[in-house]
Amino acid sequence: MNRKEWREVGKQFLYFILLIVGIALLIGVIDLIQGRSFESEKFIIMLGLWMLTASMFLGLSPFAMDSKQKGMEYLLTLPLSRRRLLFVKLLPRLAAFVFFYCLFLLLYQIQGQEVFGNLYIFFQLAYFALFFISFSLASSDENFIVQFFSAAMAFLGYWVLSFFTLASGFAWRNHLSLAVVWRFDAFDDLFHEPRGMAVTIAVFSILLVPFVASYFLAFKKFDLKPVRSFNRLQLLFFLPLLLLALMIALTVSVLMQKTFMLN
Amino acid sequence: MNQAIVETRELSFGFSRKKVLDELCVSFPESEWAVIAGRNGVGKSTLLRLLAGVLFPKSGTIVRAEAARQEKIGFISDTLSLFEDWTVERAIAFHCRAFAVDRFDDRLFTRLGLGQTVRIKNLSAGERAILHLSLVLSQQPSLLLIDEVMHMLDPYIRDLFIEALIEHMAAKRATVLTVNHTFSEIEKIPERLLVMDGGRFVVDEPTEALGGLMKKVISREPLPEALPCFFKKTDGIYKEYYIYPFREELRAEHGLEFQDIALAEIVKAFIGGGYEQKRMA
Repeated sequence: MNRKEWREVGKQFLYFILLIVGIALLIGVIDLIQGRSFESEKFIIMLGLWMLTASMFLGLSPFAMDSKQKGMEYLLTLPLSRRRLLFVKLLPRLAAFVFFYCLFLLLYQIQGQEVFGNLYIFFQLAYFALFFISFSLASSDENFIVQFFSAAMAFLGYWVLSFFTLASGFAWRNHLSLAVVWRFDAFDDLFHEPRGMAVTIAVFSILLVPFVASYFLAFKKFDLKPVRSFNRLQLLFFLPLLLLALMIALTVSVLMQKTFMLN
Repeated sequence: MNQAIVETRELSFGFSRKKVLDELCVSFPESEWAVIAGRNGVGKSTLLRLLAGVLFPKSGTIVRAEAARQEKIGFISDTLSLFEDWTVERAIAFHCRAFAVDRFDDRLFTRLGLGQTVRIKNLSAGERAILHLSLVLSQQPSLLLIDEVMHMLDPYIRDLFIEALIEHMAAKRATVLTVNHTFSEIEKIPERLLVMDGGRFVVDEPTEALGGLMKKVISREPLPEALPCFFKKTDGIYKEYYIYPFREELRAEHGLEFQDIALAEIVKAFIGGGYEQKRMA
């Protein structure tokens, strides 16, 4: 089973690498035609966007091929517990995900250190979040397109909730209303100094836990009933976990944020 | 008495609001071939999937003996599920690794003259059934669950299939549960017949005894109400009445000609009776 998964991810990995090379070649050719030197910034931006897509694709892919090849029923008869099955699916995808991240970090350092500027930390958070949120929705529908849109919506919701949590903590600490927080540069600067970045990473990470945890908990009972049955079960785990995570994240956001002298 | 290899205790299952199995209690001992019959959509395949671990029960339990742990359950579903893009060779290698099989017995497969480089999706239904059977038999299963595949097979492959099952049963004291709609080739083989209806087994009898429990009467006139008529076919001049449960005393009481019927017809009568009851409900 391990070999099958590594082989499947390996194939996807090759396609991804070919795509990166293709993107680089395309940019190189266009620059050559226009008489410019290779613009690494453009390449890094395109690579970044591609990475986000790949992160989502890797997250959604665990059962896509099995479904497409009508092997799901056979898969569930294998002498593997559901949890072990999920780990076997996760491990190679996580390895590919980490590898691409390291590759991107390396290229970013070499070629375009300031390309993303202030958005760099958010790019990284988005990359991680997209993978884990997508993975948690890998069994949400039989149609890959529907899964893709579900993951996109879930990601947007997560993003808004995370910012809301950060802003709420900032507002509380500085005795402001939530509506006015965004006007302050101090809130903007939050993401560029170590403590602020630590709070950001902590809040975003805490709010990611309900997605992954609910999927692992619900997957223990994964079978071939209609997907809405599994989704209902996952939601039963997800909602209380989300509530708990929100409370913890809000607490962290309030306690860890600096108090600013605001005009 | 043989130890139970698998047992269900008040097993219930449903899809959405539709109840398929209703507190089903049944036990299957070692080294028994049981046939499960019933009308379409009554839950036969669902029961096999539950026993195979593909589905989880809504309530109740499935108790498996140690001999029927997951790697010792061989399940051939009616969908003949396998990874379609794989070659036969890859499927065999994967299955052997997954189930820790030392040696794959390809005798059955090679008798069909099939190569291992062909893709699963390019096999016919019969060839896939034989491949599946070869794969599950290589696990040396203690419990074989076979769901409605025999009707897909040509007579030659069907014979091969049945012979392989019998050989395995004899060698390993395996329990075989089959869901069947056709009985002509296995008339004398299964020891037990179960007919499912309304989420439970309405009939659970040894096949040998069934011949004595159900008889047919052909008559132009309606039968006396006192006769336990389970199912009747009243189209045409001559009407067929299926009497269940039959007692020898009925011969003397009613002076009718009670005919022996084959297993296939007995099952048809039970299923027909089920449809009639559903219509009347």
